[in-house]
Amino acid sequence: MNAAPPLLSVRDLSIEFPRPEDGTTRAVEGVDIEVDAGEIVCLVGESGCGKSVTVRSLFGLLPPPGRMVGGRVIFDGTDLATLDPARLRALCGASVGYVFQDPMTHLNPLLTAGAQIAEAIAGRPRWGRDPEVARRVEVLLQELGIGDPARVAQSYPHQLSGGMRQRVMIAMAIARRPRLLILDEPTTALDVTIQAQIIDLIRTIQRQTGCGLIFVTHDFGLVAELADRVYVMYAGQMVEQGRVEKIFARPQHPYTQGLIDCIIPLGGERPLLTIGGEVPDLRHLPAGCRFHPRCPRASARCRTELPEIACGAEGVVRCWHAGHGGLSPAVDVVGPTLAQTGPSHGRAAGSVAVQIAAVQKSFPARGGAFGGRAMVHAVNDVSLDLAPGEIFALVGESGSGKSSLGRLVVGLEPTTSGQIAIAGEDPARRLRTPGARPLAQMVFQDPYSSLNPRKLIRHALAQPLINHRICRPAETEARSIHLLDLMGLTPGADFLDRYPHELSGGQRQRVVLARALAAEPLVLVADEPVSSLDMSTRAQILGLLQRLRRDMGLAILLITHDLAVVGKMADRIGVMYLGRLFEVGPARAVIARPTHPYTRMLVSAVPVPDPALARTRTRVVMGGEPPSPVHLPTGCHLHPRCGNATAICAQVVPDWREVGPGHHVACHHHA
Amino acid sequence: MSAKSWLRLSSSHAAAIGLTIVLLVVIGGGVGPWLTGSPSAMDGRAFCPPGPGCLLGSDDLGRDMLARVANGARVSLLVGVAAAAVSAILGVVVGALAGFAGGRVDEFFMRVAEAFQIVPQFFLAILVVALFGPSLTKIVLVIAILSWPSTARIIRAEFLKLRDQDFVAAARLAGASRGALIFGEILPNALPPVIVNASLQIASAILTEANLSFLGLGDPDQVSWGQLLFGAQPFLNQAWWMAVFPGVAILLATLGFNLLGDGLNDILDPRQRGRSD
Repeated sequence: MNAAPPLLSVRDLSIEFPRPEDGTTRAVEGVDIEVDAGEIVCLVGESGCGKSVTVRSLFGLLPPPGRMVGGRVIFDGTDLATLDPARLRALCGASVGYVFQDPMTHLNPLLTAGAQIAEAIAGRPRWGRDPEVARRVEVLLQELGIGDPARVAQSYPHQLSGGMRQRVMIAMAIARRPRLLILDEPTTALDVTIQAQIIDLIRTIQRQTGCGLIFVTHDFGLVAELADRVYVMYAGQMVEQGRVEKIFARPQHPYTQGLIDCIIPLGGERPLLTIGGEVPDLRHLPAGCRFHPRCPRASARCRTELPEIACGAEGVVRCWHAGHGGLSPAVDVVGPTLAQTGPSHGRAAGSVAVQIAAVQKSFPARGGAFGGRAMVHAVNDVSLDLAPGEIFALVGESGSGKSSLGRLVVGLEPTTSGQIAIAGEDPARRLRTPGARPLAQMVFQDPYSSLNPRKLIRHALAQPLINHRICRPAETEARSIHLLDLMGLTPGADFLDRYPHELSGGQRQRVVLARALAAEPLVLVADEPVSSLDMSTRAQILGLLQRLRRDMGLAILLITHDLAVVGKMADRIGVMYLGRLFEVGPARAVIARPTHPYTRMLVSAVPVPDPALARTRTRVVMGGEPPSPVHLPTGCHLHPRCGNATAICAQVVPDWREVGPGHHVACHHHA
Repeated sequence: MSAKSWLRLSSSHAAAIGLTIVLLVVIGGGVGPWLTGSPSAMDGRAFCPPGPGCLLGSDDLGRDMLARVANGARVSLLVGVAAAAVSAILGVVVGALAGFAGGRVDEFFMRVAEAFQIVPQFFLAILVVALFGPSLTKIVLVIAILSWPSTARIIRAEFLKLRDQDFVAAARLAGASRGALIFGEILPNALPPVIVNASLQIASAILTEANLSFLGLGDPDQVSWGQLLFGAQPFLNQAWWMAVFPGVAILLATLGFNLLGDGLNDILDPRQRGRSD
């Protein structure tokens, strides 16, 4: 490539985790990475492929008991193995910046953001002593597009939003103008809109400072937005490497091709795809090529011989059957999607599954000043109807009140005012009535916390069956097995006597779905059902939801911030902001022709899986973040952030207007 | 506890030592008196120093100290376990109700718990025993009533943390009654710190009983370690063994239960557990 030596060169890196119980696992094996100055390198793969461990090991940040057992790391011409720990630390502090996924666990909760950035600048905590450092902290925060740097600098981490905390982490990482910046899934925990802001920020920083950059992600959509060069990892090995345009246009390895196929594009007719199976457990690696159990191109040779990573005419790839246009492991698990069934499928005219009328929900703010009676206005005057067999998607940034509305619909909370009716009954009252079967069930965001860690799967399924008298006690087991089979956990009997921690995230989410369906609900509220899952498992769960709607006529309230998912799944969309609906309409119409400024911003924040397009399009940007739902803005809630806002927006709540068939918008300024 | 938990228990040094000592005390208290004969049989020479024939010596009335210490283990263990059990049950019920219900119920129970915690405990124990007369049951109840607030606070904190978890909401939607939510869903997840605490409370109950008995407020019909110390007071110059052996027994037992508690704490802490076990 370049004539100049690369900024960072990693050769044949291997990492082991010794385990006292069952021997040593090799988490990373024979990995080569090169990063040039001024280049953005993306490291991609599903979770469990060794990406994070790889970047952490480079500058000695491996979590114990992991250890580097082979390979050389040469940074800026220096072999890091020749440095003693103190010199390594000095080099790392001066020339390398790290940003991790969860900023909350990497910020000190007892120090202000400013103090921690000052520490990064000066090498020790000195906030408030040195006005020069304090000034530099504010300048740095300003560079990162933070409107009121003084306030942020004086805030403690818990007082900041997730996006702001990540900006503080980035500020700390770039404080000493590092030559190499390493970002490990920095946007995974954030909203799509905040993710878009952070991605833009990273690009700007990189352009301004000219540093080399390693970006670790499981989201191939982000790769298209950012990368110059891409490394694809699978089960601890590098499987393909190349320029981003080439990787997207002509992927050689079947895994790369599968990952690209699994990106859920916004709109379009393509069905949801998934790669079957899971990343192998590193303790029980398959013989031969590690990808062969999931690969449609696998031959006898793949099962016995591990291919070397080789530089061919078409790029650097580790596969016996490399080549563009070969079979892709991505398969359609969903069956006919909206494209085939039509968006109005299942909507019987006139019948209503859920009726939500002028609902408000507020609750006292936690903490707050002494005796203060501040109220959080989570849901404000929301009205909508769901038909049986309809998937209605609620979208919005976090804090928009969509989860609160979901909990109201299943009856976990009573409404403050207004009515919710499922088959004519208030769900909250029904849930309080002993012996009454709730008509709405819920799938929660985090499958790790929605199953009791100390109870068997058997218990989770038997509970609704017995309590709601769905079947006779003697039939409970057969019925549970049937439900698990239906959710694709086959054979179901094998799963009954396992604990939740013995299952993968996707399997747990299937158990949660099975439990929700055991009570035979009319309505299913799915609160971010896939946002904590890997890309390839997402499509499986979403496909399952679509099948349930089709086969059982279930009305589904899908709560999500991912518009690409919505476009594939939902019949209708409601866009929510600060507890109020802004735009309601048929999913395709809203995504193709977003009318409300807020919807337009959401749509343009979705990553585009095409490197050329991703860099040339112009995003609709909306500065800032949603204000606190304790102090709602007057008039239209969006006016403080909206570029189109005029005097009337600050005073009058806009009325609903119809802009297309069934497509309504609440904005003073729609075209 | 599952087989794996026992395996982990034996792999932690502190816990293994604690468990060994506790088992020794239990076996000594359980089997010892059968082997050594009655603790009140006066069939030996008085003030016989430790040696062959009477291993731990004999007391002022010629009773065998080995038999008395072994019997003391039985009484002290009984007091410790019974007091810790009563206090754990009280604490769990109060803490669970306060944590689950929240609001005024929580306020009320926590103020009551504080009322018990601000009382100088040992002084109150002395007062109760002195007023109502010493008996083992009363001593157990006094110790339990004075020590439940710590368990209640632990359980309450766990409940506050757990009651908003998704799996509790899911159980509500699955038709679980309030009792099933409290005892079936939340409590099993809240118990580990209580088990640890109970182990420490056994140790402290043994000590409290010994203290009371040493002051002459123990149950005179029972030969506990504290009673032995009380009996040894006038003869400290003549017969050191009368004080030393019961003292060592108390030291060992409390040390054992404390080590066991610390070890359990390491083992039952979910953060120390891997996902795949």
